Amino acid sequence: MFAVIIADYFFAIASLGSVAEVLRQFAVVISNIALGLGVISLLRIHGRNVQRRLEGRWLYSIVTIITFVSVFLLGIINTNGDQYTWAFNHVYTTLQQTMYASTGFFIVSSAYRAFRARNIDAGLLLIAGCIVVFTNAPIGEVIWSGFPVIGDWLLGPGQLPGYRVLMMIAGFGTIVYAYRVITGNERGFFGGGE
Amino acid sequence: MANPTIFERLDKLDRRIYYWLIVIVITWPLVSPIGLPITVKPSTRALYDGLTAVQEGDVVLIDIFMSVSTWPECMGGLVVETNTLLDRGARLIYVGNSVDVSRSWERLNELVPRLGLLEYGTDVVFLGYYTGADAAASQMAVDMSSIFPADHFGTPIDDLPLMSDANSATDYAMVLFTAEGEVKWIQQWGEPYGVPVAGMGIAMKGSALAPYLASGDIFGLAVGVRGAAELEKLAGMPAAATTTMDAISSTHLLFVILIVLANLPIIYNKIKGGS
Amino acid sequence: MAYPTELWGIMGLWVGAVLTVAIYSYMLYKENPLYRLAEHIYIGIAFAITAVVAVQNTNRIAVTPLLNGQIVFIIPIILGLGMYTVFVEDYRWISRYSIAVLVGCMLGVVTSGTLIPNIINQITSTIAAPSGATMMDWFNFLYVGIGTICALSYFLFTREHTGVLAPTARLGRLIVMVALGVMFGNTVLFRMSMLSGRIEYLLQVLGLIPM
Repeated sequence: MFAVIIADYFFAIASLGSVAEVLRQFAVVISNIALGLGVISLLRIHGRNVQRRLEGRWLYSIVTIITFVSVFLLGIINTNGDQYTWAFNHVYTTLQQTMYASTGFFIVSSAYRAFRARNIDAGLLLIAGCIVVFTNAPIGEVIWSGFPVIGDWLLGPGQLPGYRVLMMIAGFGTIVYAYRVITGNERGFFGGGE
Repeated sequence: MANPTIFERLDKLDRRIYYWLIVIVITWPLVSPIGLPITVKPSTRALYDGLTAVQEGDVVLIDIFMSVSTWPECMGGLVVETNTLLDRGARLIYVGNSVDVSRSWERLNELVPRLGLLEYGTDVVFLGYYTGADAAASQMAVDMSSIFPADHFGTPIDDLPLMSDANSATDYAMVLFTAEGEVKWIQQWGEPYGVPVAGMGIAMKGSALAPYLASGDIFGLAVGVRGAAELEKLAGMPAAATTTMDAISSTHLLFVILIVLANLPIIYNKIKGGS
Repeated sequence: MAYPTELWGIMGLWVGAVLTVAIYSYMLYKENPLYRLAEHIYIGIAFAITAVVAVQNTNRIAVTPLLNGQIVFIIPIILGLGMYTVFVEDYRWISRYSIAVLVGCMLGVVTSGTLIPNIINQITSTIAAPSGATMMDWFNFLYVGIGTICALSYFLFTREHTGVLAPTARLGRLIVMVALGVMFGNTVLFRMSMLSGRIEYLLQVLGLIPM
């Protein structure tokens, strides 16, 4: 598969292109069907909690399973139905946004507890970070007109060498990883073993 | 045992105190807006200039990668992009790589009512959710109908007149990404087919996208809610993102104050010459 | 979007507000049963939505074309279903074929795509001198060029960072720290805007600010 896709990228051969197209479609379908793997894992974990009546957990696991089954059935029966739409719009949307946003509290906590400039490296990181914080917020320009000037430089050429290198290394790493996978040296995604 | 110093007391401060502080500093400017001015970054202006250069009839692909959780960051910018492109007479095709993309589409229609006034299938199409990331983007560049045999609503793609003009990458005037997922468009559409790529990323992506902007792989970039507010200012339609910037100001100020407070013991000890 | 007037709409808003407060009660107060309940409802509904979308999408992109005569789609459907044998110890080997196809395709696409934008264009952009440039442009060009070389030297792990590599690796590390600091500053914006969105929602439900 890998060889066909790579060859299709470098060589404009019609038959190769057709095969590559089919393979890409296969990958899309397989990845779509594989979305259910997480669901099965979830049901197994929570089903086990209920089966073993794990202290402090099994009642919540019942809630999870009931929520899953009811919303899933509602969605399968009629995606445009009022009940499913209500659950999607008011329960899922709200909870998804809320869970994601709760990291805002944790970053405040980390600002106070973890971001200590104990050496030059950490100090440089914090100074650059604080300047960008004041650049992103309109109040920064009110406090000092220099913040947007330095901040815009940091957001442009300032951070460019560091991130460019990280990107290039990630690119090299991808190619090396692909080579290791093709030669059989990398089998972590198979779950280990022979 | 000696009395704890002020720094030691500050160090042991219950975290709930600053959690409540952050809630208060967010609430106050939302209830009582200040309206601090926003300056526009060159990358956002480049994005907006690219949008206004679109010609009537051009087909634009918009990838609503964002999930509902990134609405505060990106929905404002998506609204401005949609309104600007509609003003230019562009034809829009929306896709999404997030399972809740249908909700984002509904929200976009609530915020841009004239999307509903367009002739669906001719001026605008919502193809819906896709999986496969890079493989899907690569295949879409060759044959959209192979990834989307029907749109989100189940209409066969052959029954959508717009899709007959927009089945491969070369039919598109540009690709706009939203929130994340930009790399696949750069790598699978921008570089092989020369399709202009731009968009707005979540704030965390601002750094990761800077090299692409510098090398010309993307022509414009609006970053986070700040970028969305800048787009609203350029388009002359201040909305949710602009309103949020006051809360951003207050929270960011508190954030820096907390960092300074946390580092006071280190600064104090360094001045005193201790460890 | 105006404040809803029908009963289910109003109920939906208030259910959302209660769930939001339940989640944040963990941070603002302490862990409590209401938080655990909201958390587990979220897990259940999130996976349910994912499952529904997966079934719909599979039907749209594979099953319907198969039933319309495109027999070739039987192959990815079988391979996709084969992934589920990962849960059965004795038949786990079947899933490896599915994973192999998926990984092979994805790696091919990603590897071919990463070469030019992520590596070649970045090198070209680093060494291309600015034209018609100001002093600042030349300063930026030198900073980016020297900074990139130094940062690359920092990531050389096959040679000890001594001799000529010592100062360049040290400078490279500092340059990477600057980049990470910028990312940290952007992350703060991201997190705070998320949180602002939620507080705004609560204030709208309470009617303290317009919807």
